[in-house]
Amino acid sequence: MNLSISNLSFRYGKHKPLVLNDVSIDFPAGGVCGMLGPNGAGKSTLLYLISGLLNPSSGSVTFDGIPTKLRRPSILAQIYLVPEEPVLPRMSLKEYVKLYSAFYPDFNTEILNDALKEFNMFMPDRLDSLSMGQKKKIVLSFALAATTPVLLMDEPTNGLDIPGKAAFRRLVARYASDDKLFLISTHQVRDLDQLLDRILIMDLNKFLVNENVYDLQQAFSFMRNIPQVPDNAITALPSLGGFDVMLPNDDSDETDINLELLFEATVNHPDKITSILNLRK
Amino acid sequence: MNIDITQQRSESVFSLSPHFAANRFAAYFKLFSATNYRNFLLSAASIIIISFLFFIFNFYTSAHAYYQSDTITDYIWHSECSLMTFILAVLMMVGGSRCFNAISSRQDRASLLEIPASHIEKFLTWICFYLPILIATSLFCFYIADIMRVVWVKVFTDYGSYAKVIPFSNVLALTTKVSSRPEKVFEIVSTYCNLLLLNAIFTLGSSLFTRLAFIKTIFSLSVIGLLLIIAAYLGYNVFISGHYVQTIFDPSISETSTTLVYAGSTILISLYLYYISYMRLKESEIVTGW
Repeated sequence: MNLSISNLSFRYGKHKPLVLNDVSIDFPAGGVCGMLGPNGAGKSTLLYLISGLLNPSSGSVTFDGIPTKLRRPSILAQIYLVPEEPVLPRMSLKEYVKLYSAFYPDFNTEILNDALKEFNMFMPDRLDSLSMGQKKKIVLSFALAATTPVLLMDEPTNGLDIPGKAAFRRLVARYASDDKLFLISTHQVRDLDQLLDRILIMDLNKFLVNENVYDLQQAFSFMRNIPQVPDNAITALPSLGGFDVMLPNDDSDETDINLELLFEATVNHPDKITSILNLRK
Repeated sequence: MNIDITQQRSESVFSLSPHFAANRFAAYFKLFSATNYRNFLLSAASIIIISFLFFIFNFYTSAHAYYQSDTITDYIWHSECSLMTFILAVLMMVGGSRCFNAISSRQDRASLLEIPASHIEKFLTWICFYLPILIATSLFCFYIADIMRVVWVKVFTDYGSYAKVIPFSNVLALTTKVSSRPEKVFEIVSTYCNLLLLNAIFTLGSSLFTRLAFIKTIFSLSVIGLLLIIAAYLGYNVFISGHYVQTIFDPSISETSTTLVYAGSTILISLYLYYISYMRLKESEIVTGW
């Protein structure tokens, strides 16, 4: 599997501003990528462009060398998109699975049943009358069971209840593998803590950070609840016991990444973050 | 309770042509049928009720003129066939307008476009539903409505002995003058060609107008028609009026040949309009541009 974006720009209409500006990236073949960014940064747009539901203004998105905008069935069967607000037809879950799974050659009913059980979902007779959170659980379960090489999730935890979010994290951890790419777009960074292999942070129509977690841990250290903000802190957020702080990593000890701090620092001090990352390369 | 899928899936579905694979088309057709059959049944029931009301209205307004003698023909069939043609024409317009309705909202578009079937498979499914299947269902509904009309007349009026159910061949031909003579056959073919053209025009309309496609297409057609009339009127006055013009039509050309040419050109125009609509689907996105 080779998902690649090269010099991609996109705008909604000729006279509208650019949503994405000359973005290039080669995605890894597997693992969990978290795409973080403020509202309007272009996260959802990028997911739609990858899945072929939007046509690039310039540049291209290719899957194994074929532009995804062509929406070839063979490509569509390998890229599954979980939209932020899924629409489900008026039918039972069993009927839905029977009809839609036919398009996914590696559909796995065991994964489906496991995911539904994890989400504590019942077998609804009418999918269209479910709440948004329940629809999300159904679509997420189906998406995992489709076992497509690329699974795109747009704000997957929006609308999920607290047990649902925990179940989502367990399922992603369980079914992530080296030959399947999970690309998760969210602005709820805490929902992805400890899940990610790679972090992409978007703002100002482009990627500010595109690094794997190991490299970020080598570059930065994150400290929780310290009483005073050190002088070399890149950014700090007040916490109950003092401050959560992000610093350049000088002693190479790895600390768990605090996504909230990393996001805050990247959006507010993009040049600083970029220079530290470039220095290590 | 677990889900158990026993159906067979074949990986070869995805190794076939990127444009059309029979089993993938069948899978999408099945999916489309399952998501739309309720609306379709509702439409069929509406066709029966509306046709019945039209037939009954027709009976009460013209029974005195038609029911003069007891013959094997129920003379009200003539006007019924006209009514059927009219209703079918309206249904072809509505059916065409509904083609792209499945993707009227952003979420609907996303759901439809990401299904791993080709554009041509999706488009063909729509056309199958809103053309041959809709026509077949409508003809069957007309027949049912006529049976209801006959029962009504026999039970509630004094004309019971005259009323007879229209033969299905008449319903199929949309005329009582069913004959194997070529000109009659071509007349029936032309009627169906007209229906095809109407459907193609309104399908294109629905691909251009996201909302209220039916009304907007009628309005557009009216404007285009008006412009053509004005152009023809001006053209006649400027270029033809007062000048001798030799006719390009040979009066010896038979009615059959004319009908054949008409039917052929109608089919070609319809196919072209369907092609444009198909291209609209192929180039569609989840956002505007519709």
